[in-house]
Amino acid sequence: MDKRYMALGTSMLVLKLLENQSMYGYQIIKELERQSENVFCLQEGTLYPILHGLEQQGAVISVRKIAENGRERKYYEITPQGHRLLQEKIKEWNVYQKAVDQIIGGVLYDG
Amino acid sequence: MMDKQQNLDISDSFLNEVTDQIAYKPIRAFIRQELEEHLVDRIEDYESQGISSAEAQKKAVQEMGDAVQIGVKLNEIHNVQSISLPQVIVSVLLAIGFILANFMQWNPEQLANGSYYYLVGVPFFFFVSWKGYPFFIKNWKKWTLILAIGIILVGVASRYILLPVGVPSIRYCIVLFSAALVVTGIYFLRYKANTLQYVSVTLSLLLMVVLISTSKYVVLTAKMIFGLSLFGTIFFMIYRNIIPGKKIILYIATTFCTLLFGITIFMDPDHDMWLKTFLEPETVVQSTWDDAYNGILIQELLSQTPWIGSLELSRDELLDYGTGAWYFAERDEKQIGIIIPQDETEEERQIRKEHVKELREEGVLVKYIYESSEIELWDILPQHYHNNYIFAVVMFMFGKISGILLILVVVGLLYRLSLCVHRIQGRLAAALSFCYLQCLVWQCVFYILGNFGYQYGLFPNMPMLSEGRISIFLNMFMLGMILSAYRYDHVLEETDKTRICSAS
Repeated sequence: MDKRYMALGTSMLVLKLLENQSMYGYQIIKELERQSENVFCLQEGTLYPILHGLEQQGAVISVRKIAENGRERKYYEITPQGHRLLQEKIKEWNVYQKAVDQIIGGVLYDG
Repeated sequence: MMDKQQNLDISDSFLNEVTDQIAYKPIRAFIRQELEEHLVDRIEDYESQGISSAEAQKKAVQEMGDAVQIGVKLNEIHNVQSISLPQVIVSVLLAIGFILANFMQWNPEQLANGSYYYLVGVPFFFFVSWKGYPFFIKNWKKWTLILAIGIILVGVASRYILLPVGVPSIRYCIVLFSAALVVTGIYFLRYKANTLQYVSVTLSLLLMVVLISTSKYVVLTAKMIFGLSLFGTIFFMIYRNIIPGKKIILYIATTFCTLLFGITIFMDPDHDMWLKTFLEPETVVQSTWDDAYNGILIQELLSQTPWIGSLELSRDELLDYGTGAWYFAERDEKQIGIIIPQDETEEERQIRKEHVKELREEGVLVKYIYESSEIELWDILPQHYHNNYIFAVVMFMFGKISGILLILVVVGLLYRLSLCVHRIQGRLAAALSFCYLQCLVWQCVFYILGNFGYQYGLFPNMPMLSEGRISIFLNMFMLGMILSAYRYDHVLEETDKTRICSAS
């Protein structure tokens, strides 16, 4: 897949997951694997540049909290700006997906 | 045992390789900690699936991906941002301020004082902009407490001891700086209180604010700038979700507090006079020494100033403006200043002294204009206050365009600073920077209004440009902290332990 769309897809999925609850890095990886039935298996370290980038855009904020395993972890929470960014990414993704569908499903040419 | 050590080395080597790519060393520990926590969780997961500890560690590191690539990407994100452009603009304005401060003083002692404060203030600005925020954030609670105690002690000292740096100037700085301290206090309390408690805390803080604002020893303009900066920043903190809770309740509570604060300002016994000075100066002007007269004079001279080139006045016009005859001839002749002739005889001097004595007995503060063949524009400007009319003086001397251009440079800098504040993501950094920016902006607004003849309260200082003694340090500190917070925003972690709580 085109790297730009790969990055777009991953940050969109991360924001989508954070829409429901705040999560820490490893929890996000597990949740991606679970919800996609192991289709999305990222190289786990690559998640952190994405999360840190989103944090700098103001799309997420991070806070340290005690996780279910009793250990302190860095949780990421989506912000109102993150919600807006997610909507933009979904729109962009839909355009990309439509283009792919048109090619896969066959394109009608005039004349 | 050997295997375990080997695998620990694998994890360590992976983490070292990632963090070695990060140029800004202080952030390395935070990144390492987060990745290490991830590895621990993954290893435990594998071990729970029955995989041996050694194998689990090896697999966990493999799953992470290429260490160098991750490190390079993280380094691209966590960079120290450039502040060269605003630093250059500040330096240019400071140089102009330094020249003007030396040019506009009316006695050698004041000239020396102005220079001393600039000479120390400039390196102080560069130090704060390069090192200020990382130094503060390392132990912000301790620094806030030290600064609060320091402010109280200096405030008390300024009440009872005549400090060499000037008591009004100290009180002005204390009131303005208190806004940032209150903001830090609210930030500290934000997770310790629910909305109701937050409202109570805010009201208590407000009580303190009211006590400050109703003190007759604090100038009205400082109170106004304090209120605008503080409540503006609280609204900003609510908007940015820095203060948690239901936004609508928080907005209503803050609006209520703002109105209460506004009432204390309007109830100030001096406020009515200052409002009239601002809007209708002719209704309160009594003598050529009044600030209201300065406003009227500035407006009159500005109406005659060309867009390009200096204001040209005849010798008679200069004397008319200098004595105030142009305004007081039809209102109160006693207020017209006395022209002392160049070749005044002893007899004339005695007559003048008698006349002045009579005027003083009637409560008139006499103004003198020393007639000489070289009377110039400089001699008729509001005396003792040249430093308050930098923009107006520049317009009179070089045309309106010059003054407006100088104002535009200041506006450009404030706009650049507001972009920096807008981009800051660190919560405390954003809140404090916004508060400092407000203090700077409102000082500029009141100063510029005064330079067009619309003076509200006593003149504040014009950051960077007007010689404001100790306020130079305050403004250099605020400017430096905004730039420093922006510079290090991508590489500093707010280690806010107050927010550790169980994840639900």
